[in-house]
Amino acid sequence: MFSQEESDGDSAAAIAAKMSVSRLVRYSIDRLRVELSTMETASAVFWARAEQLGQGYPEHLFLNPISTPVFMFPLWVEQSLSATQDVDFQYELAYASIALYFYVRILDDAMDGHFESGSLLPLLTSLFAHCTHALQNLFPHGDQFWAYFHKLIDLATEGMVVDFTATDLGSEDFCRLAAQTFYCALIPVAAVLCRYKRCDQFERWSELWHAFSAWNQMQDDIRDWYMDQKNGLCTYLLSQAQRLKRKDESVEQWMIRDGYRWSMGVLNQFAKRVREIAAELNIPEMEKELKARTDQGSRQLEHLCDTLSRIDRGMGRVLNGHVG
Amino acid sequence: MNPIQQLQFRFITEPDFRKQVLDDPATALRAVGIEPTEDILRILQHLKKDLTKLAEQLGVGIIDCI
Repeated sequence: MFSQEESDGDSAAAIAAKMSVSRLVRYSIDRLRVELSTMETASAVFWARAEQLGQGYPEHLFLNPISTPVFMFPLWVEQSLSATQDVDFQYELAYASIALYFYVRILDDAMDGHFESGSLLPLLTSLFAHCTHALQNLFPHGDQFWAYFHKLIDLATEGMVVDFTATDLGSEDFCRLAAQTFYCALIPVAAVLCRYKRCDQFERWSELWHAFSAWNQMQDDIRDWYMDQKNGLCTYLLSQAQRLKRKDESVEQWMIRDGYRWSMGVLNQFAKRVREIAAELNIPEMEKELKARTDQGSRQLEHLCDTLSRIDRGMGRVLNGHVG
Repeated sequence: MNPIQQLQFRFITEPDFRKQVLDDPATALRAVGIEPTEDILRILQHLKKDLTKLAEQLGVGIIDCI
């Protein structure tokens, strides 16, 4: 539903961070191309899907202004801990993150039945191996990082299965699962914290991830509600629609009458929480980036609600006696 | 759904209908059972700027990212 307007007025630091992310992503994609090239057919199938997802360019999956800033989080964490950047560390971590992202993405798509996934499933093993191999270059056996790694992988697995089998979602379950399903995104965060021996900060960053995920997933559910309903998927929004609609009303009617307005209220609450935690972490660049994203989502939804209201008001008034 | 809800619903969910509301509002209105009187067409004309912007937002191909 939402457009891809670039945010205006990026500071020099924000532009530098985005360039840094761009370099990390392009390096990681190029390296993955080289490392997967030993598998001719599997590699071709994989990149065909990656290009399809990125509308021709796999890197667009990560550099798109509305994509989840998975590559920015580790940079923001490092910024909070150090005045300088450990460039080699961030590059290796970015490569591990790319492999892990595609691992999760293939799994998620297969679970949702989004495409004919059979030929891609064997890639899961390779991608996971490439991810762990890169992480082994950063952390020796026995490092505290591996405890986080295993815990986050297990929790993400549990989250994906619970989410897949859910038939009704309330607010609390939604907030927990939105974050837990993609706990893999916290692995690079944990990696930076372990690198700087600041695991005491993990809970704060995890809290930010929870808030961000709830906002991000809600936005996704609002955008896709109609397709989700057609595909029989269970989301918080559709569960609420069933609870809040009138007895003689369909989900579609509720969405038009009140659903978008209700969703906007929920989305704004989630956005407020993201901004509060981001402010507590006190990384101005991150605060600005997350604020820009949440503001844009709210503005667009507000525009939709206002336009629907204006159609109602204007046409409803005139239509008395004019309905064919 | 009443005709106005149908118009709103199809505008949100059907890209072809969105285009029709903007390019050929009379046909789009008839498709949802609304007689395209001058008053009604004038309202859509007033809303056209907003509808065009909304159609752009709704029509953008979003890449579904985690």
